[in-house]
Amino acid sequence: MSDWKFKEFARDSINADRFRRWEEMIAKTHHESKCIPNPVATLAPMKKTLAESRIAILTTGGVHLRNQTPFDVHSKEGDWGFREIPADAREKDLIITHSHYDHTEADKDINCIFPLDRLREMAAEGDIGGLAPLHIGMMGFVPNPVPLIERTGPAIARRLQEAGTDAVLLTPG
Amino acid sequence: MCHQTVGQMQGAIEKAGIPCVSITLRPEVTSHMRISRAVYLRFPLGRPVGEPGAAEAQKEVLRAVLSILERASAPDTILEAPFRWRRVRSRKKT
Repeated sequence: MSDWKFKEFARDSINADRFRRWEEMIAKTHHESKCIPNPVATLAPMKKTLAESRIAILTTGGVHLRNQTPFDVHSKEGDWGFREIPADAREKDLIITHSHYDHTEADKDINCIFPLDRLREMAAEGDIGGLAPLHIGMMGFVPNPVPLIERTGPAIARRLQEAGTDAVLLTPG
Repeated sequence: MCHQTVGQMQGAIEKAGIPCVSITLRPEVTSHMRISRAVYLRFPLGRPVGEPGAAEAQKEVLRAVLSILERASAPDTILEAPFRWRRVRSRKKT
């Protein structure tokens, strides 16, 4: 595997200001919104090598199967539901329902945000062990995250566990 | 706000013992979420894996992002990957 030169993200005053401005903007534009971080940062260790691991994708970019109920993009409270997408879903089976970001490019190629085809190819090429049987689509616009934290998160974690998922790749909308 | 939701879901899945890595385009938000591992890409919103139709470049991004699953040893790791928008196709390692 190639050796990429990564750089540590700077937690400096410039980025702290950026966060404050983002928080102010969200507070102004969305009634009763709040940012609730995880109580503590945890790191589950890999139990297998990446080349042996079955990977699931979770995106908050509003991806779901065409035959599933679309996300509610009109509710002021957002939509904290999730859709289960099987590993054999094809691009033609998928659609994006999300009105809070520009998904023009992802509409042309869903792999921009939900790279199921790419992971399938990477499994065939030996980079990863395979696709987990189950993947998750969500619509990340949820101003009040309490139901997400109390209900959606634990429900998704349980489904991914039941499906024998070894690791998860998350992508934002 | 999608970045906040990613952070919360990442926390819940990690808590269940499944290792996660997320892509972030807004690291100033992600750095407040207390996540496990994230890779910062200077890409526009809506294209976290790269340009449409650029399969090889998308895979290069994914290989780099997924490598963090084995590379990170402490939680709250946010690393910037050496890719630039519109230069992703070059596959250049810097």
